[in-house]
Amino acid sequence: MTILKINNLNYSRDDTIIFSNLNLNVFKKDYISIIGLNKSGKTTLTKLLCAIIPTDNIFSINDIFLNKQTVLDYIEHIGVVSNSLNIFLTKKVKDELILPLKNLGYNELKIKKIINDLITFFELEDLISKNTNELTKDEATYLQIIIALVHNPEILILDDAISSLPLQLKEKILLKLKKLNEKGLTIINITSDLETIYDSNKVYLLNNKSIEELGNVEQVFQEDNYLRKLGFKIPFIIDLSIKLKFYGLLDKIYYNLEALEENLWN
Amino acid sequence: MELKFVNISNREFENLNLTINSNAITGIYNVYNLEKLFNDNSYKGSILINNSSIFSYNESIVSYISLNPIFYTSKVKDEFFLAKRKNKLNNEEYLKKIESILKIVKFDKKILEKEIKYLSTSEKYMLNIAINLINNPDIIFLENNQEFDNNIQGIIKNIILELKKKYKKTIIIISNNINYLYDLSDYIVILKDNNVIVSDKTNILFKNISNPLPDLIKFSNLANSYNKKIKNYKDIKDLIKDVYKNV
Repeated sequence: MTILKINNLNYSRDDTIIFSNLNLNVFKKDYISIIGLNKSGKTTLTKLLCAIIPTDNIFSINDIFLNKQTVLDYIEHIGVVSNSLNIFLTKKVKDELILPLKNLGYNELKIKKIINDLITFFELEDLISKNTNELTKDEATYLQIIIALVHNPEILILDDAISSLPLQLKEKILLKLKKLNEKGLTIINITSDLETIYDSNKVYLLNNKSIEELGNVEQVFQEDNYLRKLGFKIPFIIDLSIKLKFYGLLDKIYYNLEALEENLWN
Repeated sequence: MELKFVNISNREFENLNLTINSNAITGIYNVYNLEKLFNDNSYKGSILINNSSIFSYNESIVSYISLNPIFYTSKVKDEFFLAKRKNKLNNEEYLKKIESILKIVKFDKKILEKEIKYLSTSEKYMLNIAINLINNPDIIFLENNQEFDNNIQGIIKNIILELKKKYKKTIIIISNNINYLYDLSDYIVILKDNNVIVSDKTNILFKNISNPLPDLIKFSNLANSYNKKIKNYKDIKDLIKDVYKNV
């Protein structure tokens, strides 16, 4: 069942065409990755998707088209994390989580339950009592992801949100996102970092002002030469798998170093 | 120029002692708010350049190239013009400098007419590098962003290597990506909670720690546990040759 639809998006800025005839269908519980290089329009697409740049009846969620009249209903369905949109509105981490819930008119009991659930799921015990101005950049990004999810949206949009994080935190976040997707959250991961796409069920390429479906993750990495030529960095484990496969030392692409070496050396 | 942080303490650091070697590339892993030391003097301890206080030098001796640059004007050319005035360059010097710097950052001249707000994230970063190069600093801090694609990373890598080799600059790369630092740095400093855990030459450092490790070294270490002797390489092609011999 389609949850989000982009219908023939044409968008220009400063006399430059950014998108031309762009169409996309996202299904409920999809975990899609839209990969794009620098200047391909990733952040612009995010801003259009979350109605920061206004549009008229191009985007729809659950068949309700986004326009001036429906914008408030539309944005309730989505959570967005983007490096270009990160601003904290309160002094305390806890207050930052409470604020959107208060704005939704939830009572204290309900707010307390949601916050406790978030602390448990995201392992926030150390972070929750901190001041927002004391957070490191990595902690701030982690918090932004949680804030985007506080109001329990149906769709989470990530705009290169986790690419710059250290590997350990990146893996932790990806694992949480996978669990949330299994529980029903639709995820749109807009990124240039191919290390973040492994859990996607479908991958799209944002290129030449439009979007092209590349298939599932395995199909994407079978086109590694095409991706390299465009300018994407192939993750080490994938690159190594492909090269060892070429020399007949492996039979498939591995996403985990331990599994790759076990197969290789045994 | 050698840069030394001596007993630096403030809200972010507690007794930071660190020496950055002259005319080398030093990678710093997992540091935060280091840039504040150059914007806010309210720290204890001292920052020394060639063993003299940083305050005895012109402020443009150090550049900190942040991922979130602040621009003071709306147009690219005005931002360059501001740098021209700051550095008191005459028109001839300015035009010569701007031409060579645009080439270094692979910008077309047309970019000068663009509004900064319409630049992409990577273009803003490259503009920040270009503006900082007009100041001709001797010590350059660069925050690295792994969001940038291979094309941009390639340009940044070439700039870093050229600044070291041709212009003898002292370069400090700030990154959370240990693979990136392993590839580029002569020295690496690893911090945890803003305390220095270990600091050494890149080819020595990873013999003494277990985390974080670059992927290439992780592979070699794991292979060793299977009694395969795979050396530490910086290039995946060299690694593959060694694997082929060992299988």
